Amino acid sequence: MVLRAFQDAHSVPAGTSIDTDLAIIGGGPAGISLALALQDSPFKVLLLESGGTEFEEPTQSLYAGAESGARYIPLEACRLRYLGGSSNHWGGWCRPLDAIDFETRSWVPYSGWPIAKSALEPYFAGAQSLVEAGPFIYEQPQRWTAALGEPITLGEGGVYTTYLQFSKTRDNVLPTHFGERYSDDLKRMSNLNLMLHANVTGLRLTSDARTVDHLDVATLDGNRFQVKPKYTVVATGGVETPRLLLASRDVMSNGVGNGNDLVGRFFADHPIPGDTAIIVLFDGKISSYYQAIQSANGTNFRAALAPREAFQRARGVLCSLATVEAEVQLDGFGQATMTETATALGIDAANMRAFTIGCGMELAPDPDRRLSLGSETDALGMPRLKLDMRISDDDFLRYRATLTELGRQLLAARTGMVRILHRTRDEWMSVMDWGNHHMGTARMHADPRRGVVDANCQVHGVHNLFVAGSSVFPTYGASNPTLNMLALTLRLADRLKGLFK
Amino acid sequence: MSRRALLGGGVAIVGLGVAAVLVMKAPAFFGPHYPPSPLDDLLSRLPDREGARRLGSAVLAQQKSFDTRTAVRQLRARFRSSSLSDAMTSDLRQDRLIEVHGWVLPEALTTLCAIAAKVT
Repeated sequence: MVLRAFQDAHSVPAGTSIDTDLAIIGGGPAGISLALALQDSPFKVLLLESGGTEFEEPTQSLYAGAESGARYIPLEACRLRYLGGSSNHWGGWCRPLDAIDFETRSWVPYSGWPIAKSALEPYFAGAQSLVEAGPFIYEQPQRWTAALGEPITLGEGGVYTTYLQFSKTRDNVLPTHFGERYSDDLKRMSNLNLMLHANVTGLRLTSDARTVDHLDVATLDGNRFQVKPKYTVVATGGVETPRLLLASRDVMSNGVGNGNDLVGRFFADHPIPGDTAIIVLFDGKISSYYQAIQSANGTNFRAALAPREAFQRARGVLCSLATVEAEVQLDGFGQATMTETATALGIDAANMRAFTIGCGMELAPDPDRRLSLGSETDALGMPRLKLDMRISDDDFLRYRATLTELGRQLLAARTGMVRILHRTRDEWMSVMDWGNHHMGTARMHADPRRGVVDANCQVHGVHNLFVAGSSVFPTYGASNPTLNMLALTLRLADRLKGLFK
Repeated sequence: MSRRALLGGGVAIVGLGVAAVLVMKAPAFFGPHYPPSPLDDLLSRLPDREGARRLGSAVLAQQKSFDTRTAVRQLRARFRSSSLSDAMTSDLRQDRLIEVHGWVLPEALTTLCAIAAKVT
């Protein structure tokens, strides 16, 4: 099999117009997975990647933008702009979204996907294979607990132990870096041209705004040319996708797909506040898979504590994944409280141990948590983004309710107890970090007034333009998005194959 | 057996007996002593009055309007037919929880500790 070298956009003659059946903008996990899914198809695919095969500062600096509101990671630091995209700094955490995450939930404003989880089920195995996370056994805990010990005993209630699998991660083995891992597979594709250093600076529509006519492409050294695709997929991530749509405003003055002022709104990430609580286990025993990634049954996995669907409905909370972290010593008050409680329950807590709890939380959708175009431009003349980041007090309260329930269940089972470490907004924000999971900015909804793309990831009103990636997530769950957005991307690949028939 | 040996044996037996009683009653002899209180029927249920007082002080600090008389009456009613452990279990089943310095605790325990802090 011949390996075709990647093309560099510097080598394309200026002013050229390149025809292709499908243009994929962005060589991150979504773009690469989409291209791979289309190998052996009869149509020509052009994958346009802004960066090279390695990190390059001038390209990365195209990501810089302004921020206001809640403290967030700088926009140029929370993602990576070269082949493989942000998989190059991925932590490898994988877990399918829950069925409830797709539902319209009365207690979650703007919730409801136009598809159910069942629409993604056929694609999870393929996504799992792409991330190299071993067999898809998230819901078969007995395969781990049999080998490595029982889960924490909780009384009947709203919190349960769930499991994450990991993209290879173990000791010095890194998660799948899509660029490096799939380079040769991409080079083997006879119907793919992968072009590096190709920055798409505009989606140019026909005058009726119903069709993408061509893409403007630029390199940092000043080369400019066009691509004329029959179909286009924007796969540039949850931050850059709205930037490209908003900046393409020559025909639609508010930007492509933005007739209803939704593009860039509903930006979301997973807050991952550190040390949110302390869990005490009276007998001091805890299975190793709570605190660190373990290997069994051909996969790497770790346990987390999550609210059950029934609890979410009953208490109006959102999903979260709480992980057991470092062992800690209780302070004097904590020791006295723990001893008094355990003894009153008739429990010998002489061997007790305490651990901090970390977490990934789901945010409620918020239209004012928003990416919009600023007045500054980057080296290519593209407007830079400004982010207004927000997190509501209710987001913290909902997670607190889950921690309270965990504490209740531990005491009811006479196995342990919980101390919640933060109450005020300032306390939560003092330990706040973010997952770098950019979602929501081109949200999916069947109604064009409420979503940027439809159930097939097609931009409403533009028949040959699609969006791949977690920017289409209308709600976010607590699961890490990569596995889920890859399943959605494989589903999009099937859709595109159908369109080309 | 000589008279001396008989006497010695008797003294030894009595001595062992005294020692045994001392060992069994040591906490009462050497542990903390609290002045008698009309609430001893409740407070005697606490495993450790000092720990309870510490926890109870924190409860009182966040429940400024804590009504001791009402709390005593309600706890006495509950303890007529159940132990502290049973009352805590019942609280956990019925979601009657109080958060003290972030610790998630059953209401019966925090109330009893608050009473202990009031009278100790």
